[in-house]
Amino acid sequence: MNDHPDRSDGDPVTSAPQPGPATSGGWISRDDPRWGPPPDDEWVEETDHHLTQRLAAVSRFVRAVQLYLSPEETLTVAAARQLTDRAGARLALDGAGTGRGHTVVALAGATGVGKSTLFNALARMALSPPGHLRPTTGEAHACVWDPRGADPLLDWLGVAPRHRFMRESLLDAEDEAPLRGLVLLDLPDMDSLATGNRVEADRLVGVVDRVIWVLDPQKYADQTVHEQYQRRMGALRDVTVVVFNQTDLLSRADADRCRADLVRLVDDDGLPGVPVIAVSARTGAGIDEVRALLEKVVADRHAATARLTAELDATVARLTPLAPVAGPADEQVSRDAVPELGEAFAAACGADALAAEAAWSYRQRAVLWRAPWHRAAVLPAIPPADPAAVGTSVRRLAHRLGDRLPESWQRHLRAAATAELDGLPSRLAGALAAGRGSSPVPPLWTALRTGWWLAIGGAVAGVLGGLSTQEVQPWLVVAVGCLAVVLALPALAVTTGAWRALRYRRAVARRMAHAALQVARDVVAPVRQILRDYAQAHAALGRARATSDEAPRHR
Amino acid sequence: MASRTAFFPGNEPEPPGVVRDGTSTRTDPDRRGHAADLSAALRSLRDALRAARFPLETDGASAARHAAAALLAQLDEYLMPRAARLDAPLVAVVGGSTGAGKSTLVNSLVRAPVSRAGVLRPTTRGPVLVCHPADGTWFGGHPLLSGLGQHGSADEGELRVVSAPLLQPGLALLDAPDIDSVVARNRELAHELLAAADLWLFVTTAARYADAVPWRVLRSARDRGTVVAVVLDRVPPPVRDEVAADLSRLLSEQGLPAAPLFVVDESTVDGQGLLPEDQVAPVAAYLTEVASSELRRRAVGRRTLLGAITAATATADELAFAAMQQGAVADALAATVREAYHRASQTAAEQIALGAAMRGAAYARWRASVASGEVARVLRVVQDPAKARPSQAPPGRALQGAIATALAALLVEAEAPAEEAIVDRWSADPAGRSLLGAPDDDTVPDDHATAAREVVRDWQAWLRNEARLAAPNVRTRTRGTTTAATVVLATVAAAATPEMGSGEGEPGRGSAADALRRVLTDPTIARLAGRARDDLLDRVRQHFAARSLRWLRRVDAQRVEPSPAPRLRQAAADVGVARQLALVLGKAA
Repeated sequence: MNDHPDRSDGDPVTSAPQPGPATSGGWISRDDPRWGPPPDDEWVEETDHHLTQRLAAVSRFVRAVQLYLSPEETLTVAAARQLTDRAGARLALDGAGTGRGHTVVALAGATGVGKSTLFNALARMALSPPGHLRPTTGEAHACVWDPRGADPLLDWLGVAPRHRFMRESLLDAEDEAPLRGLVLLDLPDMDSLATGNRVEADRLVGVVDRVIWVLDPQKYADQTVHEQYQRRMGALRDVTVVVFNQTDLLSRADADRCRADLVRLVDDDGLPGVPVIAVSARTGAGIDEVRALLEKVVADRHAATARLTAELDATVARLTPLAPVAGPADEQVSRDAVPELGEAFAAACGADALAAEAAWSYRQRAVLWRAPWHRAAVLPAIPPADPAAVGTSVRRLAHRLGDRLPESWQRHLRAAATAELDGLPSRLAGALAAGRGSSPVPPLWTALRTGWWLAIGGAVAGVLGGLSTQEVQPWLVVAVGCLAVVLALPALAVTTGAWRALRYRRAVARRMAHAALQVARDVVAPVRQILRDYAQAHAALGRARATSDEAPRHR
Repeated sequence: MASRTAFFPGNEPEPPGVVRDGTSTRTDPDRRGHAADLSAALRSLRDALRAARFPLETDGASAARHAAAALLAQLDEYLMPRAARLDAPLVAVVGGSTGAGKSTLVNSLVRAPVSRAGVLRPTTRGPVLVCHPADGTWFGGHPLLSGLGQHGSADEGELRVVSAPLLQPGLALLDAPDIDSVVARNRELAHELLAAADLWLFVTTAARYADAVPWRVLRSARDRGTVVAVVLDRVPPPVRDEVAADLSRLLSEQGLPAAPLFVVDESTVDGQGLLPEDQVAPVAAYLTEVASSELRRRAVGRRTLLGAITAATATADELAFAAMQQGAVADALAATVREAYHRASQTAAEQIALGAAMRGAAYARWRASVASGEVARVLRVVQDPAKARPSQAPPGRALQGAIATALAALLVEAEAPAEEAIVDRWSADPAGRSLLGAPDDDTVPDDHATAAREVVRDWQAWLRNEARLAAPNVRTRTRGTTTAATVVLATVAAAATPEMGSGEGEPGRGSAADALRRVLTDPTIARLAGRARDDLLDRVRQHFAARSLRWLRRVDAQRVEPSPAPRLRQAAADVGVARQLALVLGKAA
């Protein structure tokens, strides 16, 4: 009850709390691998290359899916496209002009936490005016170390020329050399009544390479910073640093306790391991640590890549539900789906019955007592297929192929499959009619029929000849022979006819099944195109995901 | 304004589209007497609120659920107790952002460390009520604020009552948690406490007076008519005037020009953690003045109470609207289903009437059966039962099967667009989307193909029975054959249309059309087929009605019957009347 350290009793802390080694002594320990020597050129180049390839994969994914998105998914994909665009622009600006890129670090935080004071302390110059009235900074200020080639980058960031400050004048000699290539931004506040400030700050937090969150003893547990920013920034864990400012207002013990509490909150926000540095911009305590951190970031030369990689990981994770599983393989479509649809089409036309009818008509024609020149009746037209059966089979196909796909893809599959449903029954009838062909007049039957009639003629001639002459025997032989043929041929014709009708029926059924299969193939073509796009998207996403195991390792 | 029209509940113009519950709107003299009593009116509003539910995930549903819970809490914790006892001490809630120094201010006002202050945020986890020892009885067993302790975990949300002899009697200070705390429970509790305040002492600091969150809360206080005083804490002396002027400007801009503003400098605290007395003296003087006489106290308490009641009736009206909207959305979702299935049923009936079941594969089968002479044999058996041989296998099986398959496919195909339409329309609506994700009703089978086949099978069974009854004088031995043949031909005749038999001009004797004409003109078959078709259409209608239940039951599960809307609206109107009466009576006093 008696501790009221925010008004530190009788002992106003004017001297800065010296950060103790256990609590605030360094943003990360020096043993941390992140404190290793700066990486060599080869590694930096490789990392860039790897990132570029993954970005290209995401672009491919975006292209493949863009026709098949639901409204919500469109937003996700648009965000992914924005990322690839921004990454492209940022990577192009990296090293423009000098052969060595700039690193953009932003100071972000609520109103009144001392962002501008910290900015000035880090720049070691009074650049950005801190104010007493709230809200203060409405536009971002930038301080650039080594301004060569930085202007395009600052233009891209949208920092007005009058808010750009160049560090590293001749007077500084080599003092500021370790920070060469740094662009430090002082952002507007993000929690004030002035919503315009917030929009600007949000925009810049979205594009800079590193974010330093500035918090103070009054505001470190504010809902705004934690819920609206930090909890959504889990992806940027590795590029975020938290600075606990204004520790001069607290006694040292209180500052340590507060810092520990803040570390707990930051952990809860899903940013475990993010360094929390206690500083006082007013007294200068802890500023060196922040500067050391900035030097390290600049020396590492991959802040931009690191941020983009982190965001890319998060984006890929968000894109995953858009193509979560592999779709049906192309061969599977050809092997299973198309034949099944073909069978269903044939059945919808009654192919079996049609073949039976054709065979029956064949047997009708295969009788001997017709004139040899008799033309067979034309087979009746094939009625249009049963629309209900056709529709059901097409829908079933779309359902089966799209079973495991996301909802919007299923919808497109269904639409593509059923697009031409209306004309399909007549089209099937036409295709099957073509497959059935015209009723054949097999030469065998003409020959048999001719032979039969000739044999009848021969028999009659034999009888008449035998009656008209005395030489009966030869005529009798002719008559008996012909009569035998006349009697034997029908038996032969019936068995042959039955056998040949069966063969004809099978052939017709086969040809009609083939015709139905052709139509099925045509119907499946647009469906297959969608499945191909899906497969492409899935593959591209897999490529974009291929990360840590393939990423170049930093020693 | 609700209160103006509510003076004459009988003449109140009806909002369009409102279904009024006859019993609840009747204004018998007895009810009027009740409405005059503010407490009774508030109680009936509470009961109406308790009965209200908003289960459908409509656009405003979660907001409505939240608002209903908040209003219920406010009724229990503030409105009802305060309406019952206007002479109870005033509760001034000290609210503000995290780290604004609320606890230090409370401690300094009563000159004793009653509330824990500290550097760790949030500091005040459980609210602390400070009152004069003489007022202690009010907060011991009295319902005012008694509900607060029931929320949250045992030690975190518990209301602690501390007595401070230096405080003005008739005034209680409530040290609330931060309104923008990172701990959600603290935030909720803070808002609950603010809803239960007679007077707000809003604390902010020089560093954060322009934060967006506190201003949101201040605006709601302004809308509610709560008496507000603002304390600008932790001001560095050099910039004192500049910052104070800026804050006054903001206050006027945000519609609170009348709120008194007190400035407390950033200064060191004494051994007990208290600010120098001269710093907090103006605040203390203001509070003492407010609580000095019972008349003054009643005036402040009443003003905030009546303001809060106006806000509460508005909320209740909104909730009534939300409840109505729930009903309307449920109706719309159900209407989508009914319409889609009605259309499916109609499509199926039309298709059957057009002979769709006798086209395509079924017609091909018919032609094949005609060509093979099977139809002629069947027809002979039907027309001359005496010639039927008992051993003969029932002919026409394949034909009958083809028609049954076609009928089943027709039913399935008619349902497909209905289901697609429902899924489309439902997923366009948030409530419908949540219903789509709801577990399926397993009393109706999911598989429409099986259901359709069952309909056709049942119909065929009925037809078989009818055919048996239609031919009573056929010999028992051949009855099976005759019946089967009759069923085949009746099925064909029911599925086909007369136009099909009138010859689409296929040449040749014994052609399919000829045979069909003979079947259709047979009087026995025609009679049976007519009844069979009527029966089939009946079954189709029933089938689709049953199928639609799969969807309708999901909607019905989320419906609140009877709708809480009329009761809520009536209760709100009663509260409005009672408020006006209290206002008039108060003025007279």
